[in-house]
Parts: sequence; structure tokens; C-alpha cells
Amino acid sequence: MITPGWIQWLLRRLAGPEAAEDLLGDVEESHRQRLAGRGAWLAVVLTTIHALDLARALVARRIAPRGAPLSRLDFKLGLRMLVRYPGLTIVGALAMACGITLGASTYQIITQVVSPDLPYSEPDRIVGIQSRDTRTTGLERRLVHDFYAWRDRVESVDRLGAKYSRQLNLAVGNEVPRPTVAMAISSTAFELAPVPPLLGRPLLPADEESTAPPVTVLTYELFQGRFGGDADVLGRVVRLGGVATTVVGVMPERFELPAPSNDFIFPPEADLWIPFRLNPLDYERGEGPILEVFGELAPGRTAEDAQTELTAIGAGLASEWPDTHEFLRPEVATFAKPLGIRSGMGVANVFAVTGAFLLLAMVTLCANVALLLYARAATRQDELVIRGALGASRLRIVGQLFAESLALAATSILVGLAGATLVLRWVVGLLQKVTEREGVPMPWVSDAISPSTAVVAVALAVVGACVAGVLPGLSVTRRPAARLRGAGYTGTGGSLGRIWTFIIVLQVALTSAFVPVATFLGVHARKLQAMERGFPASQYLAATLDMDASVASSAEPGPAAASDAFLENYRDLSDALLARLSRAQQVTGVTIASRLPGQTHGPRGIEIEGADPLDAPSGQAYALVAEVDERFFEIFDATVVAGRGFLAAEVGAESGVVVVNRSFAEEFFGSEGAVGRRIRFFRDSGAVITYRSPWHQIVGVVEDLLMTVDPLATSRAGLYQPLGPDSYPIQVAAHAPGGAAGFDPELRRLTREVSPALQLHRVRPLDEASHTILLAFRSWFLVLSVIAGVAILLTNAGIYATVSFAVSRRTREIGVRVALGADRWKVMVSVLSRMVQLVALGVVGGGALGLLMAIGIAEGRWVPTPGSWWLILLYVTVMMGVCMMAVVAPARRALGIEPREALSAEA
Amino acid sequence: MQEVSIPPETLGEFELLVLLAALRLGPEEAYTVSISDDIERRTGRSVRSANVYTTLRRLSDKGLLATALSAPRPERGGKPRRLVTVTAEGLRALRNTTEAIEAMVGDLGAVIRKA
Repeated sequence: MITPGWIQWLLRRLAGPEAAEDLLGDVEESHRQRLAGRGAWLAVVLTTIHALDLARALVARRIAPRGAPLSRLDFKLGLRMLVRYPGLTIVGALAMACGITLGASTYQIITQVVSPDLPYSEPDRIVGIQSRDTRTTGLERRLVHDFYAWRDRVESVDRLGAKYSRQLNLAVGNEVPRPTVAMAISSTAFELAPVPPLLGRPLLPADEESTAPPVTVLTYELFQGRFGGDADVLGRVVRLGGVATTVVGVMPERFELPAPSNDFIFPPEADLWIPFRLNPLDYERGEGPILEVFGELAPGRTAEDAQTELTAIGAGLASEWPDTHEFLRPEVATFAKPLGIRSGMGVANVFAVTGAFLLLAMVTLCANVALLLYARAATRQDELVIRGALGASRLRIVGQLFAESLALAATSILVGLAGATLVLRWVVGLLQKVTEREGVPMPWVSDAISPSTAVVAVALAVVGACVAGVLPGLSVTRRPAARLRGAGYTGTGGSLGRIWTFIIVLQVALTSAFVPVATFLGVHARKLQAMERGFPASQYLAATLDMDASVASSAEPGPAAASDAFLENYRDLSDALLARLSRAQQVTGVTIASRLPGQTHGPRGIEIEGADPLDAPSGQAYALVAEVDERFFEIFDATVVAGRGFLAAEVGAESGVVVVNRSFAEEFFGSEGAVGRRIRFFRDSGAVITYRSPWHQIVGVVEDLLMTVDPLATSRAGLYQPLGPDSYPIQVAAHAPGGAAGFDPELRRLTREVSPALQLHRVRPLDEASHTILLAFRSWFLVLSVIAGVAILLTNAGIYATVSFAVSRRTREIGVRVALGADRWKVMVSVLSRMVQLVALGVVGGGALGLLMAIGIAEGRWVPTPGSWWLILLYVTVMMGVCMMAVVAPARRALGIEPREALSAEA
Repeated sequence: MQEVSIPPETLGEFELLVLLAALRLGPEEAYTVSISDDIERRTGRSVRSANVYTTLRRLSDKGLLATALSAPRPERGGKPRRLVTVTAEGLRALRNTTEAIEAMVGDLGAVIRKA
């Protein structure tokens, strides 16, 4: 035969032996005719079509006699079953609704927060360019000279632009100037995100000329907030950083421009955009503001092409500028990354852990529903076996069970979506509270269910129906002949099989693991709340003190925020403010520092003179560090337990002295005493120490002052340095015994009086410093508690259903054994022992593991103490009791079986 | 006892075409491929052999066609043809259907042909 071999195989596979010969003969004859009349290629194509058409007809013929797997009647029967078993319906619908709520809300949060829709037509072609220092592996961010060199030389990246943010005071009309975040940005950014402005125009290349008049484009939020949404805003002249600036455009709500930051926590939210006008001649190489560079891959070029080109350009710059660029290498970063991946906080990790956890919760829920439906399907085993014997295909029977679970899922979708709405409202509210508190609002996050979320919810319902309906169906229709021989007898024992046994144990294990984790979070939320600060935090008002970057000595051109003139001006104004604050009536003391108690302190590497070996990576030590003035310890009532605090002369100078806290002294010196010893700081890059400071002498030891708000921290060792001459920006803390919140307006008024250039950020009482972490712990505790509660309820429902199934299947056996004189209790124990074993396995495995993990994280050790073992034993006992509650009713039923009724019912 | 009359078998449109083609080609030449070709040639419409195959099976199941294998044919890779013959039942069904059509067409023939 010349018919292609695969066609022969296909038709033989689908048709019976006799029919296959007929069909193959027809195909062969037709193929030869086509070869003769139409040529080889066309003949093959037409024969292929012919064969596939025959295959379709054969498949349809197979299905047709037994009916389609799903019909309207199946759904009707499914709904009838839901009404007939209300308990199962309620529990199953609740479980599915919980699963849909979890899945849909997680999807929306992840897509909105971690991976928001970006307004770019081809986001994958937008790239960022950064410069990596090969010595430290960190990024070199002062890129003024690099940006212009790249722009002149690179060909594989178009529309190369840059941006940097500035804090500038904005005065609208006669209003008091208020600080805003002004983003100086290249006009190419608006070409990359071609969203038409709401009003006016975006920034243009002509605006970047040094001689062009100053203009600005407003964000929608600023337009509404400061300009009242006035449509006549175009052409208005405002004072931005003291410069008369014309408003030329307003962008739409939630508009976002490229933000490639890999190492910033969140991209700073701009209030308005101004033209990018940096002149490289104003800066030395390696100086100037921190820039972010972006562009779009040229047509036909890939990110790899761009990297190759930039590597060559970087090598060229290294040889042109060896003193500054020898170790710098340009890197291409794919730009439109999810926010979480761009975050330096590891937000992506947080969401990954969250997602994994929620997935476990959904597995538990799906397993529960599958178990319930399996138990119900198993009670109909005889009916299903007989249907199969009468001609119903396995596909048909499974299809009907699937229709029933689909009916159940359909009732859950609306409830699930309603639940998702509530969850989203709560989460988004929480998120906005946190991000606004941290100064990085996320206005694009919405709690309204998006169309894609609704689609996901429907998909989850269908998947859930597949899992919960198809798996049990396949299980109860397996080996129909064997079941037919066994049908009518209850000697099967109601055994579950390996898969369902595994599902029961998994479900119980996961449920048991949720509880200790939830408890752990709750306990630590309380610990955090009760954490002893050592001073009445609600009496201290804290703020970050900044200054308008355009305010510099008139002798210095350019907006360099870190220039000497700027810092000198900043120090003068800060001193003036401190003097005014000290004289304020409500205030008994004012202090300044780089970090205040209750705020997050960054760790630094330290070496202690005479201790060994601390220059090996494994032996390095780290301590929390803050720079403070001479009043700091007195204002915060921190007792100096040894030596002294700082002198006024030591503040603002390179004094070479430090003060350590009690935890530091105990951890590193024990009973020897810390005063008089010397330490120095180091920086490392992997295994290589790249920097060591001069030695610093310890002149005093103070009581601990809450340098970390993490109740899980294993070390609270901290040390203080005198505030340096270049410390910027600084934190101000004013002690107002009458209440910090009440002093807020006065603080702002005094600040404005000293200078409108001064800016206050994150003004809040110090007891709110740890609120974010506390909020996180409390929120997680709430979520886990709800999940644990629902999981326990559903698990017990599953256990109840399974045990009921076992008892009903063994009713005759129980009746016979009791009739023969067996003790009822012993019979009941033998019937229920299997389930008890499975539950015990799940509780011990999951519960013990969950508790061990919680204890391990809390106490920092993974070998339980004798006390921990007792706690584990107690927990396991309690959880067994909770799970066994579901066995009570079926057990009572088993005890109450009368032999005569059991035997006559079967007859 | 009143007799219950069983309604005569009537054919679907495609079944009618297949049976007519089988009748015309005769028991020595009527099989799937030739029936497909005959219908295509006479009606000008494209016919899928899968549909012809399925219809032949259905008509055979109904007893309107009988099948027999021919001698092996080289143009079929040595496989025989499955030849079909219209049975008496099949003829009766053809008569019933064509009579019904003729009855309905009646004197509308000229009108239909003019369209």
C-alpha cells in the first residue's frame, strides 16, 4: 500500500478489524486516483484530509451509541442531588467558595501589586541600563557622565532617557509652599508610554534645552489635590523650588512611567514631571544625582545584542576614564518587571511564600470536597456498577458525577466572588495604609473585581469541579467487573484505597499545621505590641527633616543635593529649627539622630580589637548602628550604665568614639567590661573585605533602646556614633509629655517659620514606628486563624462523611458480628480503627511539624527542649480530640445497629 | 383487534442519494468510492466519503442494504471492495420516499424548474 503509514495506523486503531480493511482499501484507491490526477503533494494533502475526516466519523460513531458524556439531564440530576444531601452541599459549597475566594483574591493582588499592567505596547522591549561595580557587586548610581556617553554611542537601544527625583517645594497661588516629589525625566519616557495626556501635552525634547522656559506636567493626583481639578490649569504659573514654572499638561489617573529600580524599595511616586536638564560639565565623574536610565530596544535587536554593545562601550569608557570607570560595567535590565521583583525588600519573596501557603490551603479545600464527593459517590457504588453493566460507558458515568460537582461549583462562584471582594477590600485598605505610612502610596491598586479575576474565579470553579467530581468518579468506576461481582454484599469493608487514604492524611496534616503557625503569629503580634521600649513612646514626636534641593549657596550652580554648600545650609537650618523647638512650651527636650528608637536600624559589620578571628567571613560580627547627638540618651531616658555618653564637641566631628548598648557589651565582652575597648567597621563583598575604618574607642555603655522591632531578632547588639558632619537627612525627635500627636501642628508651624525650604516627612509619634510590622503580624494572624477554623470545620466534615460511609458499608457485617455475640464496642472499634489511625497520622505529622517549625522560628533553635515536647504532646492530643468529634455520630450509629434490622435491610 | 399499521420507512435526503447511487451502479460496482463519485458527478455537490461510509453503515444496519466482498483489487493495495446491494426493504423505502416527494411536488414541477 502507498497510503502513508500513519494513516494506516490511525484507521486501524479507531475502526474494528473488518471496518479498517474496508476503509484502508477506500483510502488507498482514492489516494492512487489523486496521485494520477493531481500530483504528489496535493494527493497527500487530500488523502490526509480524507483520513482525518474518516477518523472523526469513527470517533463520533463510538460516542454516539452511548450518548455524549454530558447532557442537560445530568445537570438537572446534579441539582437534585444537591438538594437531597443538604449537609454535603453546604459544606462542599463552603469549601469551594473558600477556594475561589482565596484563589481569586490572590490572583488580583498579585497582578495589581506585584505585576501591574504597564501602559506600554511592548513592555518586554523596554530596558533599563545600570552600572555595576565589579569590586563590590553593587550599583554605581551617579551616572550623569555615563548617561550622556551611552546616549551618544549606543545603537541597539532607542529613546535612551534618564530620570531622577527631587524634593521641591511647590507654591500654588498664595498657598503655603508644600514639599512635592518632582521627577526630572527625559521626554522620551512619554514616547515609551504613549498615553495621551488628560489635558495639554507631555514633556517634549525642546523643553530639555537649557534656554527653554521651565515647564511641568502634573500627575492626576496632584492636579486633583492641589489644583482642585481645575480645567484651566494649563498655562498657570506656579513656583516650583522657587522658580516660576508653567503647567503645560496633566496625565491621566494612575498613569505610570518607566521605573527600573532593582534596589529601591519602591519607586518614588512622582507628584509632577519636569524636563531633564542635567549638564555633565557641572559634575565630576561619579558625582551628581542618582539617575535611572531607560530606553527601548531598537527594532530587530534583543536584550542580548544591547548587552554585547554596552559591554564594548563600557570597556571603551574604562580605558578613557580609568580612574573612575576601571571597575564599572554597564548592564541591561529588562525593565517592565513586576514591582515585587524590582523591590529591594524581597516583596516578591513575600508574595511567593504567601502564594505557596495559599496554594496549600486550596489543596486542603479541594481535597476536602473531593473526599466528600467520593464518600457520596461510594455510597452509590451499586447503582453506578449496575448502570455500567447496562451499557453506560465509564465516560458517561464520570460525566454525570462531574456534572454534579459542576453544579456544586456553580453555586459557589457567586459566594466565592463575594468573599474575594471582602478580602480585597481588607487587603487593599491595609496595603494603602502601610504604603502611605511608608511614604510610597500605590494608587493604582483597586479592590474592585477585575474581569480577568472573574474569569479566574470561573476557571477555579471548573478545575475544582474536575478534581472533586472526576477523581471520585474514576475511582468508583474502576474495575467494574470486580465491583459487579461484589455488588449487593457489604463485605467490601468500605476501604478507601491508597489515593483517598493519602488525601485524608494530607488534609488532616495541613489542617493541624495551620493552627500552630497562626498561634505563633498571634503570640508574636502581642509580644511586639508589648515590647518594652524603655521610654514612653507616645510622648515623642518624630519626623524626617529634609530640605528643598534647589536651595543651595548662591555661589554654587546646579541642583547637586549632596554638595558642601547644600549640607552647610542644611546644618544651619536644622540647628535653627532645633533651637526653636527647644524653646517650645510643650517640649521638654529635642534630639536628632540618623535613626530613632523603634525605627529599623541597619546592621554594619564590626571587628573587635583583640578578638579572633573576625576577618574571616564566617567569623564576622554585625551590630545595629545609629548616629546620635549628645542629648540623645538623656532625652530618651537611657541610663548610662558604664562610662559616659557623647560630648557636644564630639558631635559633628570625626571623634573616633562610640557608645554601645548593654546587649552589645554582654554579647561581645561578657563580664570583662566594654569601656576602653576598640572596634572598627568593615564592608565586604562576599568573602573579600573591601573597606576597614579606623579604630573607634568605646567610651560608654547604655541600656538597650529598641534598635530593632523584630521580636524574632536573635541579636540586639547595637552601638552609637556621634552624628557626623555630613549626616543627611536626619530624624528629629521632640519629647512632648502632653502627647506627641498634639505637638504635630506646632512642629510644622515652627519648621515653616525657620525656612520654607525645610521639609518634614513621616511625622508621627514614635509608638507608631513599629506599626507596619505589627500590622503585618496581626493581619497574617487573622488570615491564618480564619483559614485554620475553616480547615478544621471542613476536615471534620470530611472525616464524618468518610466514617459514615464506612459504617454504612459495613452495616451487615456489624449486624452479623453482634448477632454472633461479639461485643458492640469491640466491633465499633474494629470498624473505626482505620480512620482513627489515619487521623492520628495526619495530626502527629502535620501538627507536630507545624509546631516544631513555629517553635524553631520563635526560639531560633530546631532541637526541641523537654518543655517543647510536652507542648507538642498536648497539642497533638487536643487536635486528635477535635478531629475525633467528627467520629462520634457515626460511632453512635454503629453502636445502635440492631442485627435483625441490619440483616433484613440487606435482604 | 385493530391492526396497527407500521409507518413505511422513509429516507433522509442523503440516504436517498446514496441508495439511488447504489441502485444505479448495481451490485458489481456500488461501493463507497464509486457512490461518492456518482453523487458528486450527478448533483455537482462535494461529498465526503466519510459521510457516505457512515450512511452505508446505517442503511446496512437498517437492512436496506446488503454487503459483500469482491475479489482483491490491486488498485486497493490488494484489498477487496465492499460492494453494496439494495435489498427489497431498501427498494420499498426508496419507493415510499420518492412517491412522497412526487406527491408533494405534484404540479409544482414547472414552477420549481423555472426558479
